[in-house]
Amino acid sequence: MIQYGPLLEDLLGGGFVCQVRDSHNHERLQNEALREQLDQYLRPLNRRLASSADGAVWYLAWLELNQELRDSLSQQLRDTLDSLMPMLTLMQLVQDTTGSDRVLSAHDVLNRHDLAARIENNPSLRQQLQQLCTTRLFQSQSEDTGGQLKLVFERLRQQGYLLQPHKDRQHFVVTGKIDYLLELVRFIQEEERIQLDDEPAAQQEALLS
Amino acid sequence: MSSLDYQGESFRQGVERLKLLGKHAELVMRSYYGEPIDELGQDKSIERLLGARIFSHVDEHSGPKLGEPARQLIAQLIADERRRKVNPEIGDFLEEIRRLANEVNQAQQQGNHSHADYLFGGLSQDVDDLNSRIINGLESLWNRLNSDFAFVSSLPEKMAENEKAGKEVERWLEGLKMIDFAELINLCGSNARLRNLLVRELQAQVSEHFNRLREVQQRLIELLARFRQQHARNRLVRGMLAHLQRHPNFKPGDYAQRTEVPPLFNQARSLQAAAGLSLDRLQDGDVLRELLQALPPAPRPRAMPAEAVGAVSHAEHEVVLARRRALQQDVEGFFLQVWQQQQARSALDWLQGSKLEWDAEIWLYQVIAAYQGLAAADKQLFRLNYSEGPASAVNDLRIVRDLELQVQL
Repeated sequence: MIQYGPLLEDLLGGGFVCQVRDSHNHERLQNEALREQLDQYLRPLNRRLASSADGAVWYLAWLELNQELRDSLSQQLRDTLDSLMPMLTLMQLVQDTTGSDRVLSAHDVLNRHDLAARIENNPSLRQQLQQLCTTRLFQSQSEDTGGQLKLVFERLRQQGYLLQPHKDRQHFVVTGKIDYLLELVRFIQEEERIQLDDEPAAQQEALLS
Repeated sequence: MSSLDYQGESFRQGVERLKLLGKHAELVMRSYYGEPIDELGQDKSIERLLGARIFSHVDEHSGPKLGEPARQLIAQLIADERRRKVNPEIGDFLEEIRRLANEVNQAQQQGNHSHADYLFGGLSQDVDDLNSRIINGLESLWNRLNSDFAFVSSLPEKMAENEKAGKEVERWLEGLKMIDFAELINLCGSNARLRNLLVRELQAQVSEHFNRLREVQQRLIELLARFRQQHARNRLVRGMLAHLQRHPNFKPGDYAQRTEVPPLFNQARSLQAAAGLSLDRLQDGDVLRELLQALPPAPRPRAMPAEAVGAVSHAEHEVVLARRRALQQDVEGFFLQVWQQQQARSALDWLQGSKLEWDAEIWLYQVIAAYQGLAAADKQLFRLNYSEGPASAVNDLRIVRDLELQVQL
């Protein structure tokens, strides 16, 4: 088991193993026999391996739940919900800023300086960022765009959504945890039967077909 | 003789039934395209068609329908037009090579070899044209694929372009399927040159086209799936954001309290493994020694002289004692931070910055007391600078306004 020490430590520390963060171990986790071995090891800690629906991210779940653990999961859920709005707003902001036709996903590369410059030049984006920085998740006292974005990125890095391959470079890679978050959002949307408005573009498409 | 008689009868019957077909051609074609035939309305003629087994009753609920043999015959007869509809390029190509191959054979039969050569040239030109048209089509498809349809900007447009390209591929595939090599073999007859061009070479080329088109088709399907997924994600993010904005107090159910907790929400708390030095790993000895040397001197248990915090009355209440201890701890925190950051700090700034509620004068007094109370070895590590000033313009009593603690190496 010794060769899986770092992997186990990462998982036990609450890490999400995805292709971006740790491609080597992510590949190892595709092996069912190994997963069983790891589950055996984790059993006394009341933990087991779990993954998102498509197997893109691996993390640890409780093996057996009792009331205390359920309560802590409830608290976790409340925290997630608190950060939902800022996270979705941020994803929208990045998409609007880069002009991309799709939502932020794993493997996307973001350049912080580049983003800051674009936001700086657009009053509406600047205001969106400002607003984002009043949320509990991204609280920032900074007045300027660069400082605000720096803090936002730092928070995202801490939370495991971004990876900074080189400390001195401003390139950040989006990790698979963002897909996990979206899967969670999808679950809530379906569970609570939230009607999604069709985008104008989609309506146009419907007219065309 | 008897067999000839039999053939004679067959011959007569064939002619008679073909005439029957011709006489009721319109009725037959209407049934071919699925129009129900009213038995009573057609009386005699339908009876005759049924008798000739051109029509039959398939089941008891529906009227008479055109039988399968006649259906096949018609399909063959109108195949060219159908082909042209599926893929005009290949439909026309097939008609053209059929015409030319017949003419080549005819010229050859008549011994007109130079005319046969000329016609053959045209035929091979047609084959080349078709091949290059398909290859160009493939190239254009790959270009669009490899750029992820970057020539349109929005996802729905990309999806529409992808579908358009998919139809193009399908049209070519359907077209290529219409090339019937059994028919071409017949067409070539014993002409080796024609056989080489229309069967051997064309077959290899067509199968190559098939493979490439299938590959494009596969890639298009994959890309479309990706576009669809992205589109769904876009909708999800936008839609949920809009929902949360409209309902700021939105609270979903507490999934963690359900009998079956949805797997997504079962995420174990993080566990920080306690780390210790493994002294038995001799190979790490050097690294450990280096790390140990780099550590700042461990803060010794500070024997804070009692007089440093003023006289302690035995009768003093525990609350006061606790406050005193807290004050000592905060001052220690100040010393530690200055040491860690290796940077001079003003005592009052630190007090304000760390939002502690000590009275400034008490704070300064305690800092001085703590400094004086340090063991000699520790004391050498710090320097305490006094920032003093006269009590007032007329009173030259020096008052300590602030202190600056700095590390002295």
